[in-house]
Amino acid sequence: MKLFVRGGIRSNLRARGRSILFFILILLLTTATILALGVRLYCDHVLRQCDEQYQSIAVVEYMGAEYPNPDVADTFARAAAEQITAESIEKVAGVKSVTMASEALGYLEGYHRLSVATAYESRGVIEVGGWSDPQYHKVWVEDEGAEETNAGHYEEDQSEVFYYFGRVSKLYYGSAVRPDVLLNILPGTSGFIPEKGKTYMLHGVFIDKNQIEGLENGIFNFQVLAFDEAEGESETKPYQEVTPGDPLPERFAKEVIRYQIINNYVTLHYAQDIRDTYEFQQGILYLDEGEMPAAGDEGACIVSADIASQLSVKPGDEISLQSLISSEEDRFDLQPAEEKTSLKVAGVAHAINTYPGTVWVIGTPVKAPFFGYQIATISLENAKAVAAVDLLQERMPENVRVQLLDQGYQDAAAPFASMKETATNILMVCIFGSLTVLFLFGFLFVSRQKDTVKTMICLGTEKKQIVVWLLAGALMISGSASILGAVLGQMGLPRVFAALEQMWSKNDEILTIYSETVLGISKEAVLDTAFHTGAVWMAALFMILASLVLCLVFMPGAFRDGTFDRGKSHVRIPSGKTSVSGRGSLRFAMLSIRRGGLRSLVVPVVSLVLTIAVIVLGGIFGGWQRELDRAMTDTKLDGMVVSTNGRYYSGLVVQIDAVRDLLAIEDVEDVYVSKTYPYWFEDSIPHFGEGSFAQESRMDWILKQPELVSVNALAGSKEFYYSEPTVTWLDGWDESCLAKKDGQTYLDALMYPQESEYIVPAIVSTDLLKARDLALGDTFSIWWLENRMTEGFESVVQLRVVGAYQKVGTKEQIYVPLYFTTPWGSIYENDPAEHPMPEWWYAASDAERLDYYYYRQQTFSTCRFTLKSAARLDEMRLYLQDKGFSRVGRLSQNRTTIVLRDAAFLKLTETLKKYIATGRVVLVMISVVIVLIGFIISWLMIHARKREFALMRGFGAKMGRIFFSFFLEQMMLMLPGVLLGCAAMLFLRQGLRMQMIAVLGYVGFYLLGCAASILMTGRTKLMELLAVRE
Amino acid sequence: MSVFELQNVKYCYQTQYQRVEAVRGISCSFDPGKVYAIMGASGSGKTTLLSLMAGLDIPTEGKVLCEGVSTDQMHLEQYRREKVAVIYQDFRLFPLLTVAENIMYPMELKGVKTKEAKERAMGLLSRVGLPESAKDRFPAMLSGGEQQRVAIARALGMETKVLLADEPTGNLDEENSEKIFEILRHLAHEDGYLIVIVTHDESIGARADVCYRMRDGRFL
Repeated sequence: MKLFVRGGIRSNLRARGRSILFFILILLLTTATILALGVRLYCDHVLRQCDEQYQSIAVVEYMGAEYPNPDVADTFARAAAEQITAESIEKVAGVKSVTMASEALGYLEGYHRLSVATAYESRGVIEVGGWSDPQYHKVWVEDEGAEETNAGHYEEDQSEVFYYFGRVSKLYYGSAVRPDVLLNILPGTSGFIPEKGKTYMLHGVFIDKNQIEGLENGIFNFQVLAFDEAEGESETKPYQEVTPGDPLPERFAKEVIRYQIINNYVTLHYAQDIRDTYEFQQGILYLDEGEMPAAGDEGACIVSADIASQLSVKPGDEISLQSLISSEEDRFDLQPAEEKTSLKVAGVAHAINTYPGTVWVIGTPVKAPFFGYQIATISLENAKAVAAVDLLQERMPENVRVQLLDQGYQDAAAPFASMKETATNILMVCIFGSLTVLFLFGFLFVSRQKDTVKTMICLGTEKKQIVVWLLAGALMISGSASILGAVLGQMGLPRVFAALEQMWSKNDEILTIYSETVLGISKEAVLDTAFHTGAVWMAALFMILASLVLCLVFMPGAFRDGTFDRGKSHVRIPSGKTSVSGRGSLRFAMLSIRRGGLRSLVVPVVSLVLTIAVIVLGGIFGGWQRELDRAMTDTKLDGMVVSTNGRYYSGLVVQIDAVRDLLAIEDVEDVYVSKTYPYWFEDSIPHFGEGSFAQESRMDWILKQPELVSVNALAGSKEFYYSEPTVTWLDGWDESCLAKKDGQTYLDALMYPQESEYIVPAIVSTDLLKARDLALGDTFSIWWLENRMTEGFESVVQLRVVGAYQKVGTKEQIYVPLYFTTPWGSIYENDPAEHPMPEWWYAASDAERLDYYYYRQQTFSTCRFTLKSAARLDEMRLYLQDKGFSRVGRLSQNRTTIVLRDAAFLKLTETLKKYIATGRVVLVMISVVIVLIGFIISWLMIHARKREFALMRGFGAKMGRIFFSFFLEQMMLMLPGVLLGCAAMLFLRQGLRMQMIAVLGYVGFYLLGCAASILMTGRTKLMELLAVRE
Repeated sequence: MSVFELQNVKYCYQTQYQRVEAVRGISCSFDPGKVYAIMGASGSGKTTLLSLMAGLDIPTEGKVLCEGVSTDQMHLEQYRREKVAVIYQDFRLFPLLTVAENIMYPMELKGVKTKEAKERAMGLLSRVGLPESAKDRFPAMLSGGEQQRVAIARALGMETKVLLADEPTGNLDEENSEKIFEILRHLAHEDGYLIVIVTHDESIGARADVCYRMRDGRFL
């Protein structure tokens, strides 16, 4: 056996040219494969670590008029929520779990909600006795005939009892007082008249000391109040005589329980994995005690710090939770569910004011009416999160936003994911190239060894011995090249990894700053870059095994015809005439083509295929480049001012200076701002009575009213951020009325009344028009509340209906021009920095002072802007950074947080850039392949005719003539294929320039290959050429 | 006793399109110590006959008996290794093995130690009239006559006592042809080899001990 191993190895070692060529090829391919595999594995290693350190979630929210208020019963949001099911979301690839409408309410016995206003905070159920005489209102009576002015005295008005003194004997419900304290009991309209010596059970409301005009005794007041309306109970009186020690009357007891439950509700957040809830995922909360329960651990929960401290709960304890079901209309009109659920406390969240009385539960939420705007929370696989969110967003109903919060995973992982993809492509190319080379290797080193095999067979060598001979020779080349390649690759990998780490640390943020793609917190991954490269030896093993397999595949070829020369050599006689016209090289070339027969078809067919291929590829690449150019110039992006967490865009305080900074950007086309004020109709406001308590209640009512929105475009109002408004206009009117530059503000109108009435154009909802029996063109009046210089002013304004819109929210918003509150010039003109106050103040008119002190200090509640094109988007990002605008989650000196809605644009351009980059690599590879194909085909064709070549030289033909003859022949063979392929351009008219370049490249590279092969053959010694057997 | 005996040997080339009867019933015997020449025009079937004697295939009909045993009863590889040696018109030397290695190959194939094979190869080289300096050359560096001598030396190294030659002088000039024939004749007459030469060279036919002439697959 040694003989055959040695013989095979020696034979191949001595066949220097062929062996060295394939040794180098296999060496290079192994090295490249190992580098590509190493980079791929390294990227995998990093991506795995990223995956472990980051969590991606998506929040599905209805972007309603009162978003993000969690307590609103918005019918639009409910309709949208009904269209979305967990099943439909779970079907999307990359979704791990879904929790629908995760926020609910519940009750934990013993928990007392502190420091947060509750629905029935001041209600009370008390037992009172020890009554005083009735106390009446006192009125001032001027003394008759008195000479002094203001002389008089107070007299009691005995027409109505004002209050009684009473002592609280028992407190059933109420946080304001303790037993045994003295109270002012105000019977109001309840008809309560206590008899001295009797004890009464009272239902009512505590009113703070000194809050009732005329009461100055400094003790608490308790107004007897009818029970909240409930079916069949409206007749029950809010007072009842009782004997001390008797049980609490049923109706009162019921109310006590209701108040205890409702006022001490706990908020429940359901999830399959608590780590995936917004507050924990975003790092707003962390655990103080215990451990985060495992995903899907049904019944496990985390409690907020106040619950843990009040109920003395520790991790491992159990709590009994009762769900509270809201009525359809009111989130806090709660009914306790009958069943109680026992939950095991796994951990306690750290103390934070923003999450009082909260329990995070693993499980499915109870079925309850949907309130607020948060429809679902989706837990996502990091790597598939972006694609999943894109797909989900496409499937969502109008106005529903799917917001990805990935903790910065994309930023950290994207370079490695991209590198992994490139490495995978290179790996594929290497594998394909390796298999091609090894295929040729097997063919040349095994199948083409027929003479050797024949000789060995003639000498009686056994088949297996011949196989050993051939394999030993072949594997010596491929094995040594593979191992050396692996060693080189292994040595090169640390440098490549170091370069990758450097690239990662330099990860350029410019592309994503102020982008909506990076909302939420951004964590810095701690990567363990130590990476064991042992696995890359697999590549060397693959090369050796592949060469072995391909050698074995070609082995039968070596033995075919090996035992006998069956028949003689096949001499093919061309059909038809064998002479052609023409002279010299041209005639020779044409003769050769004719004589070549079917073989002559190879070049045109290959040329046709390759020409079509390069034309198609050229067209595709050209198309990508054009698409990218178009996207950069034609895409109109918009940006908006948002809250620091990036999710809210209303209820903000946007300084006018920030708006001016935005306007100073050359590419900014429009800036839309809005200011909102509560409004009401005179006939709709209830009578609240006199006194500060009544005024407070009145203000509460006003603040809950719909809004008068002063805006310069409907798109600038929060209701239309996520949906286009549908407006019917009065003839001659359109949306431009909102942005009118020379309109008069209401303050100017107030200060300088004109002869004509001050009527403001308004866009009103169709529902409001119907309810008020109004039509387009009608005029009506509203009251509105303006906070001017920290003081509230209530004014009346006349509005004219110029447009009617389809309502998209819960409130009947009315849109009026921006000039109504803000003069155009205060935003767009006259930088106030140029007019320092002291120099002109005393000489200034009232209007100038107003302009300086009021208009120029204004703030807006929303701000949105559009960009002309995305061509200079990166410069825009840098400008925003220079101006100190805050980014989501990262406050800068300018506390206005900006987000650019560029997710779709970035996705498109990133994809196109990736395609173009890949296209460039493919083009280079195709060029190399074309050169190789040109070279191989012409080499094979010329090699087969070496003797012819030799004969021509033998007869004294000059090298130039020989070269030209063969070159002309190749050109004549190639051109028909190229021309036919160019016909394809007629069908692919796009990107002609790119296609022309591609075709010319193909022709050039192919002929280059031909020339090289002819010259190489020409360099061979004539003696050697003549020795070649046909 | 005859070393070889052909009994009504027939052989057909069967291809997809046609059937060619190359050998059509030949019977004869071959004795050791003689030079046999088989002559005929191209396509007469003489090389096919030699190939059947060399054990490259078995006859379609009839038998080739070697020392009384039919080749179809034998393991052909073993037969080729131990019973017959063949030299070809195109020499069939391993182009990438040296002269010495080419000669040593069949010896090593039979298990002879390398050192001994080398010594014997040197002896064979001188026996066929090649200088010792030729041992490290590659076949491509030798003339046709020298290559054929190497092929003869390699055949002798097989120690088979039967040497079949297919046009051994076909690629050689007259002087070299003469030398080769002399070597072969010497091997037959002095060393007792059975030499069968397939040729169309009349001078070889004339000088052979026995000359068979073939036409259309038959002896005349």
